[in-house]
Amino acid sequence: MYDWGDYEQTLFVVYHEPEYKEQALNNYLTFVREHNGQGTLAPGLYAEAGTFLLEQGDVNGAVDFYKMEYERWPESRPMLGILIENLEAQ
Amino acid sequence: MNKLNLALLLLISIVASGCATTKIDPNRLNAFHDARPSSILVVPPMNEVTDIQATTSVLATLPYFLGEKGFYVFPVNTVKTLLEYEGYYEAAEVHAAPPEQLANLFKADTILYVTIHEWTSKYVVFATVTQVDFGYKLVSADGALLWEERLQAEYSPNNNSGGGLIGLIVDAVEAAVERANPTYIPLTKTVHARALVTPVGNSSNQGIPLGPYHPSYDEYYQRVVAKSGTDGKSE
Repeated sequence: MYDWGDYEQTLFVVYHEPEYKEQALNNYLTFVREHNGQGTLAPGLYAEAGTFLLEQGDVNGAVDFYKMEYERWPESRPMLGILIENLEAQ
Repeated sequence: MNKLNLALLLLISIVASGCATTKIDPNRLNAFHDARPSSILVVPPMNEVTDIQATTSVLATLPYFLGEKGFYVFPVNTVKTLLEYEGYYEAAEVHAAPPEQLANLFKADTILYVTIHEWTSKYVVFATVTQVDFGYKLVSADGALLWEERLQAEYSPNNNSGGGLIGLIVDAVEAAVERANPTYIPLTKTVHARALVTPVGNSSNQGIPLGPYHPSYDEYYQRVVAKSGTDGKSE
């Protein structure tokens, strides 16, 4: 039903292969950005992009992705609503 | 003659067996159907084995199967990160926490708990057998059990070498490759698929029901309601 891209592969690399992490994250972020809020991206994938950016210290970039997830998936709103609010207050 | 026995022994591709494959309880999905959940919070799996890659590999391979079933799957890495902010660093702590409390943190309809009972690669005779064994438990936000499954699977590369000494050497080399780079991921996905996916045209209650984002969701529940109307529910 959805586009998943290299989501699984990205998680493996993030968890187990730190030497390829930067490349894998760049590829993943490019893939997610191409969808730009569209509904065909699998559930959770915008939020994961946000969390990857947050870990890199890019709060604004993280909030942008969290907002895409928030808009697309109502189930994410209680979790992300608080997160977005806290990040924007920083 | 011995060679034939060995060949039979080694002609294992993928063998998966479930605890309840012989007789499936027709009412096993009743609680799930009554709850009709929309979202699933996958918490980090509990690991009863020593390989630390097991946890994250199982975690990373679950969202695809649940998402394609039509559920909103909470982003597993984001959830893992947020749980750590909340002080839950170990999967065992998460599994021991009250489900009501976890569900409330994320406002999730359900929580999926997976336990890895087995995750090993063993050198047997001259082939390597990779084995996995997972237990799945889906619990509602108020702590009620909606669905559970336990499945094992093992994989061993096919032995189709010509035999003789050269054959033995080739097998030993293949076993080394298999040990260094075991086929855990395809095996893990096979087990997830058997646990969660309902084969097309199968009415044997295999797998889990559909979620609201699946195009056949309404049709699925119309069938469930029609069936419970004719069969009568057990409770």
